[in-house]
Amino acid sequence: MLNRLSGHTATGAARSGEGRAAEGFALVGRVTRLEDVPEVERHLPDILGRALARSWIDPQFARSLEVDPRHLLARYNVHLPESVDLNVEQAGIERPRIVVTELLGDGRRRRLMYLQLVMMAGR
Amino acid sequence: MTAHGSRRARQALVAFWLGLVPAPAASARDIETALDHVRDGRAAEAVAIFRDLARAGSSVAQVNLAVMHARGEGVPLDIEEATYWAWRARLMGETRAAAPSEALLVQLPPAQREAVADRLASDLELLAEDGSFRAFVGLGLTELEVRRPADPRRASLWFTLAAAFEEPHGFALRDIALAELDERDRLRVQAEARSVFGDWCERLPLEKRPASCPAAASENGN
Repeated sequence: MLNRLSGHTATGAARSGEGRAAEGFALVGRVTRLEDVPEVERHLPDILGRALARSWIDPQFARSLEVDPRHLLARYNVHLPESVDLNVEQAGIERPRIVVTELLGDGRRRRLMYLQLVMMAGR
Repeated sequence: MTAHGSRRARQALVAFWLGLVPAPAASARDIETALDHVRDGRAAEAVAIFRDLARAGSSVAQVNLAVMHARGEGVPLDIEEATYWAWRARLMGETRAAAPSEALLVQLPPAQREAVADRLASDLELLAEDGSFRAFVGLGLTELEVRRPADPRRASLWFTLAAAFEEPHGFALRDIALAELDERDRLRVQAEARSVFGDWCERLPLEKRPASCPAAASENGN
C-alpha cells in the first residue's frame, strides 16, 4: 500500500514530558518504538505530518528533517524498525520528499509512503 | 474514574478534538494564489491574502498566516502574533496547526502567553455570539491549554455551555473536566452555567437559539 502523506493527520497535543525534546516540543507523547511495518504504516503518517508542520516555523528543524529524518525522529523519541528506511528524494521532482521504504527478504525495497516537504499548509 | 485516569481521559479527548475535527472549507483559489506568491518571493502579497482569509475565518489561512509571522516573511517576525493565529486555527479544528501552535506557545514568556489567551478568549466569545458552538469548546481549551496556570473551573464552565448547546464533544469534555474538580467547585460551575445560559441565549442569533432557551430570550429577539 502506498500512502501519500500531506500532514493533515497530525496527532493531537502530546502531553507527557517523557517524549519531549529539550525545547518543550514533542512529536509523540512517550517514547515510541514502531516494531514492524504495520505499526509504521499506522503511526508514521501522523508523526511525519506533525514533524512537517513543525518545520514550517523552524528552519533548523526543517533542515534536520531534510538531511536525516530518521535521526531527527530518534531525537524526538520515535524509533523505527531496522528494515524501514527514510530517504529524502530531491532530484527530478518539484519539491523534495521523504520516501519511506521497507527492505524485503530478497534485498529489494518496497515503498510504503512518502511525504512531500511542502512549505506550508495547502488547501 | 480515578483522578489520574480522568486526567488521561481528558488529555486523550482534548487530543482527539484538537486533532480530528475537520477544518471549514477555505477559499481554495485564494489560498493557492497566496501559496504561489510565497513560492515566487512575493511574501507581502501572500500575507495580505492570508490575513483577509484568516480574519474571515479560514483556518488554513490562519495557520499559514501564523507561519508567515513566525518566519518574519512579508511581516515583521512576531512570535506572539504567530502563536495567536496558530491557536485560532487549531481551536477551530485545523489539524496542521497542532505542532506549530505547541512549538510557538512554549517560546512565549508568561505575560505574552496570557495576552494570547486573553485575545483568543475575546475573539472566540465573538464567534460564540455569532452562533458558532464550536467556539465554546475552543474557549474551554484556551483555559486549559493556553492559559497558565490553567483554569479548569472556567474551562468546565465553557464545556458545560458547549454541551448545553449540543456541541459534539462538549458533553465528554464537560464530564471529564467536571470530574477533575472537587465537589464544591463542580456545584459552583453548574450554578454559574445555569446563571449564564440565559445570558448566552440572548447573545445568540435568534435562528441559532435552541428551544431550551428561556422564553424571555426568544421574545427579546423577536
